[in-house]
Amino acid sequence: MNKLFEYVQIALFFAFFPALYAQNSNGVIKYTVATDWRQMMETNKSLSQESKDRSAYVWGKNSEYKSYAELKFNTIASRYEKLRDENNERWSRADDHVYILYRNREENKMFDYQTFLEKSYGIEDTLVCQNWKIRNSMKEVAGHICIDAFYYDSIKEKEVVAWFALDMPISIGPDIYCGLPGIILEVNEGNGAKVYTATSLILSEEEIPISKPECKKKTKMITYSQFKEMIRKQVTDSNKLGRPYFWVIDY
Amino acid sequence: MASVGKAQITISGQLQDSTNTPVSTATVMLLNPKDSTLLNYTSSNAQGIFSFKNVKNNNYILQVSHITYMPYRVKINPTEEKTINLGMITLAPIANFLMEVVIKEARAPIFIKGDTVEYDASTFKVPPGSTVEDLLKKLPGIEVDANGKIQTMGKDVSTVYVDGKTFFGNDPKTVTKNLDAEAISKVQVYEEKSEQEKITGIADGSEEKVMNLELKNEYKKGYFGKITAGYGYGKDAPHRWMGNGNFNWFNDKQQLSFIGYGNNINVSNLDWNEYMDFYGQSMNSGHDDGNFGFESGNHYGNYIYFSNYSYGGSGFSQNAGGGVNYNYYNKKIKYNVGYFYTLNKTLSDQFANRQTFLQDSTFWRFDTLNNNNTRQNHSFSTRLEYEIDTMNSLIFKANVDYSLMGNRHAGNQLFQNNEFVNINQNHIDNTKDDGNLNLKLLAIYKHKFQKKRRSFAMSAAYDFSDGKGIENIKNINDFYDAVSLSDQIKFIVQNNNNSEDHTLKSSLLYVEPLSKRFSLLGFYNFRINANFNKNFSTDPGNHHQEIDSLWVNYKNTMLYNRAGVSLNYMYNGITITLGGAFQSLILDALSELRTSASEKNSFSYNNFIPYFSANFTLPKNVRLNFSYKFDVKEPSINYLFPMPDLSNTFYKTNGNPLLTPERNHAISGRLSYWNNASMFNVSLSANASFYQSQIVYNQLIEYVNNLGYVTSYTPANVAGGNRVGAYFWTNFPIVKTILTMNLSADANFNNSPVFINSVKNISYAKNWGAHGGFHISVKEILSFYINGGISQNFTNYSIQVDRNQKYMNYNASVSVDWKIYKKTYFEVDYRFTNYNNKELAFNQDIHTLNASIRQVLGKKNRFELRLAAIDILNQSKEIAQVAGINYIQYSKNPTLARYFLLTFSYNMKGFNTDNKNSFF
Repeated sequence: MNKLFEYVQIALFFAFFPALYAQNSNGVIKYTVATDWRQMMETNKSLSQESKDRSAYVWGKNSEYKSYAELKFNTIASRYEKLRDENNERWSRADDHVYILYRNREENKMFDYQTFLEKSYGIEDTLVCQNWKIRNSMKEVAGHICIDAFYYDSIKEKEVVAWFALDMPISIGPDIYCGLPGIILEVNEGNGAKVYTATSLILSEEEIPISKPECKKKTKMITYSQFKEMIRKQVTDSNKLGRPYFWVIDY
Repeated sequence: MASVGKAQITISGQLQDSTNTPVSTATVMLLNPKDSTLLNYTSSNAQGIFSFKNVKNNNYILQVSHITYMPYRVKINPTEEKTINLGMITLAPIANFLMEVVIKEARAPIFIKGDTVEYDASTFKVPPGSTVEDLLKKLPGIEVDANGKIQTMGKDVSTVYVDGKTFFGNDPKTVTKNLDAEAISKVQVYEEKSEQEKITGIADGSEEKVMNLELKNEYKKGYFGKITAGYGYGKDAPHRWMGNGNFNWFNDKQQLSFIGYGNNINVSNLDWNEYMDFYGQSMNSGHDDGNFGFESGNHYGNYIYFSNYSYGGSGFSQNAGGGVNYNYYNKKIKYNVGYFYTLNKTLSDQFANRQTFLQDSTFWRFDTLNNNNTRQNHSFSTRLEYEIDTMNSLIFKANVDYSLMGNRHAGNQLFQNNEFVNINQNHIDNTKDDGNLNLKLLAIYKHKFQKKRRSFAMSAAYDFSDGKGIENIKNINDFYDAVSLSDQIKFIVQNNNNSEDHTLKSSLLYVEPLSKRFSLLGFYNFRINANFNKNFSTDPGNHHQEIDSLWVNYKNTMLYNRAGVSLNYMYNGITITLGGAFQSLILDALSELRTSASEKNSFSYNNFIPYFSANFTLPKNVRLNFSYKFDVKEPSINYLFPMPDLSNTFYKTNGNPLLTPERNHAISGRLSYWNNASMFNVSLSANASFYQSQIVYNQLIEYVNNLGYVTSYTPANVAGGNRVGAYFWTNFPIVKTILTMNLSADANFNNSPVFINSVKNISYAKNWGAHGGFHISVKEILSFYINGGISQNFTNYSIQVDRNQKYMNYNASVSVDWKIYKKTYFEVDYRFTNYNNKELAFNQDIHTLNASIRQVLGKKNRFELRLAAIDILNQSKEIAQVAGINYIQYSKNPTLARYFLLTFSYNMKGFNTDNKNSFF
C-alpha cells in the first residue's frame, strides 16, 4: 500500500513538475528576519563571558526582534529590499535608511544601494557570492524541500547555514546570500542569532519588471571590497571597545 | 592528485530510480573533497542525464540531491581520459515516514550522514516530566514495546548513548526510563560496526543498531555564584569586615537566585551588576502602576525600576541584607516572586553652623548633634503576567513591605547673636521608634481588538498602610541673659502616633485608531482614600498622663476623579499628543480635639489640565522632543493638617487649611544627535517651570523672651517663582578606540518668593558648571580616566543684599586600571575637590586616594585575592555648604576614613581576566 502511494506520488510529481519549473523564474518571496540579541551576544567572540552571561540571564526569552524583507526576481535579475513594519508603528522612526540589493545574474553584476553609518553608498561590482560547503540535511521551508550548505563568516565570526530549494534552480537568496544551486529560503547565522525565513513565496507566470536602484545624487560609489573593508573596520573597532558591533550596524 | 594537469575534462552520468525510471531535475553538484565546498552544479534532464563540461581534472565529490531521493555521493579521481562517465546511478527513495511525518508534519529537518538519518527530537512535543521513552514512542520509525525494548526498521536497538557516551551501563532502558525528555535535542540512529569489524576492518555482517541522544546546549541550564570575605584595619577605624555571596540557578524556564551581604564599611546596597544578577529576567518586567494617563498610549514598554539602588553615605554604618528571587517564564506566563531583607545601623555626628538673616539683624546657631539610626526592612513582592491569548492579557501584583526604625537624635544647639553672644542653648535628646506596614495589590487587564491599534485596558488597585510610632522628646533650653544663665525650660513629652490609610483606585484606558496616523486616547482615573490619624502625647514626669492640648484625631477622606482625552498623531518618527483632562478632588477633613470643638472642613478643587507633547525622530539620528504640561498638584494632607512635630521647641510647623493647589506651566525640550560612524554624540536639553501659584513655607521668626529665637513654618500659596535649566553633553573619540573626550555644561536659574516675618523675600539662585574628561585605553591593558570640572553658585536676595553669596567648587580626578601581568591588576584613583567662598573666607581642599591590587588565582581563574587601601590620605569627610532662602549653613559629618582591606573571593564560573568593559 505504501509502495503504491509512493508511486502515485512520484507520478503526480512528474506530471506537474515541468510546469512548475517553467514558472519558477519569476516571483516574490517575503522573508521574516528574526534577530535573537541574546544569541548575537553569545556568538560574539570579542565580548567578555561575563557580559554574555549577564545579558542571557537578564534578557532570557525576551530577546527576539523581528523585521521583514522582500526578494523579487525575474529571469535575469533579483532585488532584495527591507520592508517597513507597518504593524510596529510605535517603534517606527523617520527611516531614511535604505537597503536595496540588486543582482543581475545575466551580467554577473551586483549593484547595492544602502545606508551604512548614516551615509548612503552605491556599491557596484561583479557579483560576489559565498564559498558554500554542501551538507546533506533536508527540510521543508515555505512548502519547498531544501538541503543545507554552510560557510564560516570571518567578519561576523559566525557559521552561516543556508537552506536552498531543490526544485527552484535559481542562484539567489535573501540579503547578501547567493551562489547555491537553488533559491535560498532560510539562512541561520550563528545558531539562531539571526534567522531569515521565507514566509511566503508567490511565483508569477508573467515577467516581473526589476530595476536597478536609483541612488540619490550625492551617493558615494564604491566597490564591494571597499565596502567590506568599511564593515571589517567598524567591527574590529567595536570589538576593541568591547561593544557589540551589531548595535550600530546591521550586518 | 591535483597536479594531473590543466586539462579540462567532462564528467557525466545518468540517474534512475529503483524502477529504472529516469530521475530528472535532480541537483548535481561538484564538491571539493577536502571540505565539501561547492565548485560547480547542474541538474539532470528529462532522461536523467547530467554532465559537467570543461571542468578541471581534479579530485571531486559528486553529490546528487533530489526532493524525493536520498542524497547520493561518489568520489571522483583525476583521470588520463578526457571524460569520466559515471554510468547509471540508482537513487534510493527517502522513507515515506521521514518525508511525511518528520519533514512535512513535524516540520523538522532530517540530517543524512551516509545511510543514517537523524532528526531533531525537540520538535515532537511531550508533556513536561516525560521520560525519553515517552518521547521515543512519538518518534516516527521507532517502536517501543511494553517492556521498553526499542526497535527501529525492524531491528533491536542494542545500545543507547548519551552525547556519544555510555550512560550507566549498557541497558538502553536505564537511559530511556530515567532521562528527562526535555533534556534531549537530537535523536540519532545508526549502525555500529561490531568490535571484531572495528579491529579487522572486515565486515562480518553483525552490525548493531545503536541510538545516540544528544543533550541540549548547556547554556540553557546552569548555575553561577560568587562568594567574597574580607577583613580590614584602619587606625581610626579598626576591625573593618565585609562579606557577600550570591548563587543563581537557572534553566530554560526558571531562575532562582540567592544573595546575602554584610559589612561595616558603609556599603548598604547592591551594586548594579549584583542587582541584575539577582533579579534576572524580572528586571525587564514592567513597573506597571495601573495609573493610565496622557502618555499611556506610547509607553507600554518595559521599565527598569531600581528599588534598592543607592550608595550609603556619611557616618559609620553596619549593614546586612539578603534575599531570594524566583522567576518562571514560558510563552504565556511570566511569574516572579521575591523576598528581600535589609538592616542598616548608622552612627553619625554632625557639626554645623547656620547664620539666619532677618530684616535688620542676623543670628547664629551652632549644632553638635549625634544620630543613631537603625532601620530594618522586609519586602515581599510577587507579579504574574498571563497572556490569555493574543488579544487578552492580565497582570497581578502584590507587594508587602514591613519596616522598623529606631532613632536617637541627641546633642546641643547653641544660638548666638551677631556679636557671638549666647542667647540660648537647646539640649536635645529624642528617641523614636516606628513600625510601618505597607500592602499594595494591583490587577491590570489589557485587551486588543481585531482592529489594529484599538485597545482597552483597566486596572484596579488597593493600597493599605498602617503605622505606629512612639517618640520620646526631651528638650531642655537654657536661656542666657547677657553672659549668665537666667532661665531654663524643660520640655519632656512622649508622643504616640498611629495612622491607617486605605486607598482604592481604578483606571480605564481606551485607544481608538481614527486613521493610519491618528488615534484618540481616552482615560479615566478614580481614587478614593481614607486616612485615620490618632495622635496623643503623655507626660512621662506625671505617670504618662495624656496631655489634653496635644490630643488630636484626624479623619480625612479624599475622592479624586480625572477624565481626559488626547489626540495622537504617530507616523514616520513623528509623535504628537494634544489633550486635556478635567480633574476634581473633594477632600473632607475632620479633626477632633480635646481642648476645643471638633472641626469639619470640606474642600473641593476642580481644574482643567491641558497637555501637549511632540517627539521627532529625524533622519540621521537626530531626535527632538518637546512637551508642555500644565501641572496642578493638590496640597497634601500634611500641608493642610500637619502631624504635630514637637521634636524641637525652636522650629515648629503649622498647617494651613486655606491652601489651594500648586499650578505651574512646565515646558521641556531636548535635542540629541549621534553619529555611529565617528561615534560623536551630543545632547542638549532645557526645561522651565513657571509657577502661577506655588506652595512655600513662609517663616515667622520671633524672639521670645526667656526662650530665644523661635521659627515657625506655615505653608502658603504665593504667586510667581520660576525655574529654568539647561544641560549640554557631548562625547567623541579623538583617536578612535583609544582616546575619547567628553564635555558637559549646565546652567540653572531659579527664583522663589517667600515671606519671612511677612516681608517678601525673593531669592535668585544662579549656578553653572562645566566638566571635561578624557578616557585613554591602551591595548586593553591600561585604562586612564582623567576628569575635571568647575562650578559656580550665586545666590542673591531681595532683602539683605549685602548677604549675597558666591561660591566655587573645583574638582579633578584621575583613575587608572592596569593589567600588570596575566592575572594581576592594579587600580588607583585620586580625586581632588576644592570648595571656596570668598565672602565667608571659606576654602576647603579634600584629596582622596584609593588603590588596590588584585590577583586572580587557580587554573580556572576561580579565586581572587585583593588588597585595597581606601582613603590613603585620611581626608574623607562629608562637607556641605548650603545657602537657603534666609540662611547659610556649613556642616561637617565625619565618615569612614583611611583603612586597608584584604578580600578573598571564589567565583564558581571563574573571574573575567580580560580587561574589557562589562558594558551590559
